[in-house]
Amino acid sequence: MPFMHGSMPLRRTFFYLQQGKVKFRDNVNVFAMGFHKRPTEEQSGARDFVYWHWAQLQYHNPKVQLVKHADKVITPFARAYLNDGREVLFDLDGMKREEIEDTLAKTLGKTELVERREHLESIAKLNPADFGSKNERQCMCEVQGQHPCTGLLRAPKCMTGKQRWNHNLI
Amino acid sequence: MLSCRISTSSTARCLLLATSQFNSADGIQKRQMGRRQPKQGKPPILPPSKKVLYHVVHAPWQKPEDVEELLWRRHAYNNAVLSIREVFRAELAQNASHGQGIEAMKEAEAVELDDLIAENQKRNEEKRAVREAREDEMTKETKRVILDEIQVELEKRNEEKKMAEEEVRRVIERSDGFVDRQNLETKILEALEKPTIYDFAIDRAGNKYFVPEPVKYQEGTPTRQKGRLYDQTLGTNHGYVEEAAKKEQSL
Repeated sequence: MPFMHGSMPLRRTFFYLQQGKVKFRDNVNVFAMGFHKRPTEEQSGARDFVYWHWAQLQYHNPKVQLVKHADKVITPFARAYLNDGREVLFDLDGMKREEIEDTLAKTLGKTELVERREHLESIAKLNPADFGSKNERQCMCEVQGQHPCTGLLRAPKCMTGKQRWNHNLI
Repeated sequence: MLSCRISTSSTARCLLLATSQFNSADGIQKRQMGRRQPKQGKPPILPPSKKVLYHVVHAPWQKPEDVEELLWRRHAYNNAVLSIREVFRAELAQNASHGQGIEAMKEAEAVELDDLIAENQKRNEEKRAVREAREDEMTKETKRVILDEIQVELEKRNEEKKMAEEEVRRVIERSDGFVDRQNLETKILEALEKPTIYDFAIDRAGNKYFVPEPVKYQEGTPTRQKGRLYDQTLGTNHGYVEEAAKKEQSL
């Protein structure tokens, strides 16, 4: 399998995806990046960034639209479209991929303040009346005094959805 | 009123459906007959296994004093939780009133983002200035190279022009001996007197071997087969030899 050679499969490992530093704030709706497929020395940082970190970006920012512009303009750039209509332009000329990553993470990434606020909000959002895998209880049957799940104890027929008085009617 | 209307209409529709089904199939139930019949002896949905079905764990009865104690503890715990919640609520309200709540944090974030964007803008401007300077430098360099190339090309063309002029001049000088209408007869006579013969063999030293010996005027019938004429050992005197050294000397 030729796909399994070189650095190609490395980028797609779950561990590598988790290592991504750039986690955009909620303000960022779209992130576009212009790079070159055959770059000069100044342009090679943007191309390396796309090669190494694009999958990480996708992994960490599932709600952000990510756009690639290959060979469109001379100078490599990145442009973020915020939800209030503003556009943030990054000039990536002559930057290495590490520098690009740092710049993006510092400017549009989640800062400490944002993370703290989100943590507090997530605490406030916890509602004990919610059920599901992301909540305190998985199922209603875990609540005291409720009927156990019908997988364990069959419910009386009158409580199931199939109950009908006259099967010939409808 | 509206709900009444909906309910009446739905019942009416149900009745209509029921009557139509009964009408079409002579009172035989045909609803859901399109579904595949389950295989005989094997119900489509298996009931829970005997181990699981109706197996409800009944905890053994506890001692009354234990129950009492647990109830008391539960009340104490619930009271503690309520108190802590009240304390936290008060703390949150206080934070919000002092500008430390979520809203205040959001405002701080917006300010922070503005600062970061401004900083980025500044960085972009700096890079743009640097790039412009670099591009100016490159433009100048390119211009200089192009001008140099143009200079070289012009010089080359001048040189070529001079050479062409010189050649034309030489040709004009040589044109005295050219054949034209006036001196045609004379030139023909001259050529007959001094014929140029190219029918010879040549060796590496440049010696020319004329076999048979060139004659000014052809006498008799010319030889038809010439293929083996030059198939001779060089150095033997068979014909006329024009040696290269002598020719150079004569030149």
